[in-house]
Amino acid sequence: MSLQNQKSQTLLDVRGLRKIFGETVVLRGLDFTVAKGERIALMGPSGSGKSTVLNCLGGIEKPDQGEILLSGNNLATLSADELAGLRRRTIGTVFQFFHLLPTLTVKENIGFPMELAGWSQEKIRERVGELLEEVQIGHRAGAYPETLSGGEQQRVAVARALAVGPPLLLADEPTGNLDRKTGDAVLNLMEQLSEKHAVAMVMVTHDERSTRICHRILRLEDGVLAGPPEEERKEEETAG
Amino acid sequence: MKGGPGLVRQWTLFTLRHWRRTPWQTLLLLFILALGVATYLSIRLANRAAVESFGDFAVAVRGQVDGSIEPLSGNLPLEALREVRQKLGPKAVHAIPILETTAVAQRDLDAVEGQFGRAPTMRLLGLDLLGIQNLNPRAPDGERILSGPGEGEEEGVFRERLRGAPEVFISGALARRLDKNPGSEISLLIRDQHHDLRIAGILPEQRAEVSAPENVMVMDISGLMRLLGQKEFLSRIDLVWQGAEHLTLQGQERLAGVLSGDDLAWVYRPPEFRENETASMTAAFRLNLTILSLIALLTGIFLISQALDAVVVRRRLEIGILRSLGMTDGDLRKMWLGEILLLGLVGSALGVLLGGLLAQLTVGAVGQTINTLYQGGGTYRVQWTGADILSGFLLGVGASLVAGLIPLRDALRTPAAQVLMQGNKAPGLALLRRPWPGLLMVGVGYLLTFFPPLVLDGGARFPAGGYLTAFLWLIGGTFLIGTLFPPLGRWGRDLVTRWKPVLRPGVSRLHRATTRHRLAAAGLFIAVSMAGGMTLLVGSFEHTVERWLEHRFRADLYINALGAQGPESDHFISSERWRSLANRPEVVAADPFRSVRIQIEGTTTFLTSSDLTLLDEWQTPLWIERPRGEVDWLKRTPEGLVPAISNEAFAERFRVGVGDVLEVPSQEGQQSVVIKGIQAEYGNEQGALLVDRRWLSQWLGEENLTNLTLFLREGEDPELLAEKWSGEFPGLAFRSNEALRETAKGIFRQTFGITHALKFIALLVALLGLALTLVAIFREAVQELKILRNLGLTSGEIASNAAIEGTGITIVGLSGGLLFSFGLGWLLIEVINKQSFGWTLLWAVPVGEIALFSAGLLLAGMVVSLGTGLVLVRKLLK
Repeated sequence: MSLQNQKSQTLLDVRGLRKIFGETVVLRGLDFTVAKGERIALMGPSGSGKSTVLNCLGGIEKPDQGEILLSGNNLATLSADELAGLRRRTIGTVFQFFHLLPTLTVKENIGFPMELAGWSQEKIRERVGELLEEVQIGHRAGAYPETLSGGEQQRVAVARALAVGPPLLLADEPTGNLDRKTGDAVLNLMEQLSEKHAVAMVMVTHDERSTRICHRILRLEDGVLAGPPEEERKEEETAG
Repeated sequence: MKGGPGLVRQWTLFTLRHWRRTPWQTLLLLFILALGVATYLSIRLANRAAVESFGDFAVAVRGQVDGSIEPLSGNLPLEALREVRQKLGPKAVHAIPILETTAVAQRDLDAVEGQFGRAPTMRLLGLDLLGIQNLNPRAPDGERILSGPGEGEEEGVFRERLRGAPEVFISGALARRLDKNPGSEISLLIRDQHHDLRIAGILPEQRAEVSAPENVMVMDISGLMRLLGQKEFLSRIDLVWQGAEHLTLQGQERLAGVLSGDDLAWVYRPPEFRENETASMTAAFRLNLTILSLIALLTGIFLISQALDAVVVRRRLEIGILRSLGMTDGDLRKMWLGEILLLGLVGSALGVLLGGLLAQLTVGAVGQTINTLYQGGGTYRVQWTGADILSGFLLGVGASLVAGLIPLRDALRTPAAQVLMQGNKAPGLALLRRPWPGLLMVGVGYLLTFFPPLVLDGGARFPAGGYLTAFLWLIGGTFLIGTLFPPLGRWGRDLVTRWKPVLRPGVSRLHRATTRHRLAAAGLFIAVSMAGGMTLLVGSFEHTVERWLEHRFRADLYINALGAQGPESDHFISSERWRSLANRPEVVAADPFRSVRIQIEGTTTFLTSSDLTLLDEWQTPLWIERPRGEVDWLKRTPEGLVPAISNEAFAERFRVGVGDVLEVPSQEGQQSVVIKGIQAEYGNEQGALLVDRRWLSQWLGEENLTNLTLFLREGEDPELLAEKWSGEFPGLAFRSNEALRETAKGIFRQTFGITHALKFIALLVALLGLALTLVAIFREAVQELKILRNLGLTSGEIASNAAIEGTGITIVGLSGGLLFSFGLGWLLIEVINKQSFGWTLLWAVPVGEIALFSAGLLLAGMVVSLGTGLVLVRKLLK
């Protein structure tokens, strides 16, 4: 399905998102949408509220005002358990510091979200095999995270994030802790998998080069989104 | 929400792998739990072994009887047998006369060099052997009570043998231990005389499904009567129903009805009476031990809680990731409880194994103490039941679950990994930072001290209010001691700023102590409070007993039958012997002392006698309440009452005071006595009434003595005379004043030996917990440690900071514990001891012992802290 077709199907709809910590207004009413399969980069200086947006999208933080509709579900109306369920099925997350579970091997880390989702062991084995191949880490399937390089750990993290086939991937500085070459490889992998599985992505990044895999860039300054020209440019580039 | 890994999968994926990654910490945690469970179990098993040994003894010797006739006071007159048979009439109940005494093997006495309470006391039973061989209605065909020469003999021949020289049947175990066979001789001390008796045969190893205890010997009753020169008295009469089954409870009640009546010097006792009485008599002692044994576990709960909290800290990021992956509170709770369950199960399993080993050690100590303090005659075997194992597991898992509550709360409050990155820390239990719950508990605890003791079956008193107070004070104290951290931090900061600024970070962390600091200090606090409180109790007790010994024992020589090994011992000094000694020219005054068991209000206590004309001039009791005016102890009062002195335990137990009149059973019927004074006495907790010896001799119809006290002419050497008279009276033990005090102190030390061991275990648990705490604290502070390294501190300096933190926790736990130990000491001495035993104790603070113990703990705390710091710094900062 082309992006133009997918754009007609909105996955994420953010309306008037506002978040206050104490007396500090971090987000001042954000409006944006993400279509199915669309990749968006969220950029901005430190303290502009990027991570807070990501946490709100993942249901970790509750907005003080506004709505977040994910696959038609209004996150504000969901209980803590329902939000946890939504994260299991609908959202994959990739962190800057990888955050693999230290006691689990590579294949167990990848398979764990499927276990949480109640998949059968046979189905988990099959899917883990596919993902290991896709992220090219099959040779380290039985290794523990502490023995992997940063790039390998992030590839496992990407595989884990996509394990149950979520429609949305949230990535928080996914290359922030990797060298340039390894970072590029991880970005290519994310792009490739996002294309293949039609997964939308919201990526927080400081790195302009990372935005090359995104269809659009949203710039956040002092809790508000900056003007649309660059977004359009990126979108046009991608469309072209 | 459905899904997620099951319990076993979760243990495999997370718990066990974490344990493997931190094997030493896990082992330490499991060991703390195991030690708590093991301490409790070993005391439980030892207590039961001590009590059950009496049950075994009774069943094995008498077979399954359907009750006994026992005297209300002293011995049972022979005419009671006729009275009982008359009352029973044609009923199908056999009345079997029994004469029972105690004996000590000379070889055992030689082995312990005559020390009191050390040689095993044996029960020597005089039975109508001929009658009993024919009377065995419920025995399987062919089973005989005795084997050996009597077996298979014609009745006439056997009867002839019984009329001959007295012979004894001994247990197989004793025969093996002393290397004896039927036909050989055994040298025994019975009462105050040596006897070499021929061994007629070996008692069967198994009878009525109970193994024959080692310490039982059987003789024909006529032979024993001849041996003791006692033909008018029995010890009791056993009753055996002739039916194929035992007498039912209703049957026993009917029998009791038939055998009741006024003016009887005896009473019918159902079959389990003696065992129940022993159990109730020792109930308070055993309960006290059980409660002490739980201290290690209570200390352990705090430390396990702290250690589990450390686990949460260590896995905070993991929990955050799991949340990010969609785990709900319910999933996390299930996961955490599953881990605690596994910890409880494995720790309890280790505790049960360790408890078995410890029980082998404690059973001897508990048994020996019960033997010395209450009643001899038991052999102690550790026997497990399913209930023991189950109770160990329930306690271990329960303790883990209680300990896991605060960490569970922390785990559930852990946010998702995204938020965790913003650097927040585990919240801990904010309540521990507030002093008011502690003040409330201390206040409520104080009010509970006014709660009267619960009276258990058999008259033993249990100070439930006092124990509840102790619990509330200990828990309350854990809230209060946290307040010591800020001043300690401030004081430490000033000190190190001048002395060693490099230690500032460690001290500043004490100033802002976390829940973990507070929990670790709380564990130490509980162990120190209890250990300190017990030290004060034991110190005061020792001081009081010494004062009492000084007052009470001023004579030069103390004499008792050599075989006397405990209060229950039947080793009397015959009247001819003691009179012969009392009339020697070297003796200026002699105090003959006699003690007999009596029944008052259905429970056992003691009636004692002494020469009360010696009061004040020769004997000086430690009066709690002096007699008012002059008392003629030899004459009845104008109201016809016999004047008596009650000891404190008796007064407390039977709620009597000076001027109160009591009916006391005697072989001459009920005697009315009036209490003229109350004296302190620390010999027994069952209470004793003291009358002049002339009254008791008259009531008993004999003048045998329990012991004799001699005051010697000036210039006489007690040691020399003791040696000389020992040769003349080989069945008697002569002790000088000093030797007697040493014996008394020996018994005292033995009694509190287990207490010291339990104190040590609690402190060991606390120190192990301190190490675990520090691991947790430093793991949480790893970023700070890294900063210190970046600031240029060496590994040694960073470890020293860790040591300062650990030492600070030790100081808070120790100082708070010492402070509270005075409160607990007061509670133990003035409330718990007073309610349990009725003893007034004089306060004494064993300053040296407390100082040594505090210095030792502080040093141990510093070593543990520095050691943990060095290991962790190397590991965390590599």
